[in-house]
Amino acid sequence: MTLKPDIKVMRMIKALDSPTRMQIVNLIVNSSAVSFTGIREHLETLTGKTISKGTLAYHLDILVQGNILTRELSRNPDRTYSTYETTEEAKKTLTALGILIEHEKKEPATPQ
Amino acid sequence: MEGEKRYDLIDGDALNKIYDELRSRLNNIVPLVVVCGPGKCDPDEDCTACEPEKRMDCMYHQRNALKTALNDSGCLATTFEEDLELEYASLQEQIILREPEVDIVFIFPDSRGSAAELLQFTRDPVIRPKVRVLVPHQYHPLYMESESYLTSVYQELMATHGHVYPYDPRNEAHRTPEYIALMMMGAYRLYRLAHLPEMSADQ
Repeated sequence: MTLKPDIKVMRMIKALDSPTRMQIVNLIVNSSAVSFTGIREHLETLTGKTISKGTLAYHLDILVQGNILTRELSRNPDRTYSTYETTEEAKKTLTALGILIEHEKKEPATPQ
Repeated sequence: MEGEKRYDLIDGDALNKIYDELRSRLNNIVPLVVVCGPGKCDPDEDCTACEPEKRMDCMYHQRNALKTALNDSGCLATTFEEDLELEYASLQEQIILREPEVDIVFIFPDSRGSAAELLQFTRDPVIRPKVRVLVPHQYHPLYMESESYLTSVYQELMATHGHVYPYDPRNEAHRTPEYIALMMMGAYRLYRLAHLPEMSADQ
């Protein structure tokens, strides 16, 4: 499987270029929809550190803009809830990237 | 002739190869941009309170239009979430903007509060080089059409920082925020390209 390095893929790679965002994607790619609070609690358990709402919202929006996650908003009179899911396109790209990484591990590129 | 330096002419194919390689590298640069600006006109609505013909004057719409234009042009653009009712929002934003991954920060100041925030950001030596300020042309100090507090803030910034740009979506002479921002991001991509590792024609 080859991965064409077009701008969509480059934007996805840039969006993933952060340990926090990789942890978020690892959580969501293996689940169905996850809420903002669920992601926050998961990250705090994983790292043992608190993450501010603002910082988490920033990372999540980058993943949404990078077409890795979709955001679903639901409202009730008191507040707005957001839930996040991985896009199909991201799943395919992540799978391809995973294959590439595995391939690199088996056959490391030799310097020319 | 002895001692004369000879230059080999580069052939057309090699030149085309370099050009294609540069173009592809340029297109693969994805700057991370944060667009800061006002929240919704009505916090309970999706800003549908604005009639379509009034949206040119609504800075919330302009902020979102800029975010969309930047994302469509291959950048990764984000805005700060306004639904979260954050405590110490400005401090949290400052921490994020200090991150090395943030390349450029576009700011639409719209009030005394946001002008104070703008000054706070531009006094931070890490954030300052990333900041580009977009202001309606009537408030830009160059045009001397306003005596508001904001204009004096922009005047100070013009003198100390420089990156304060007038826009007016209704007047082609001043351009839209999207036009200004996309021009700047084009230049920024070239700057980044110039700082990539060395390349040769046979790569």
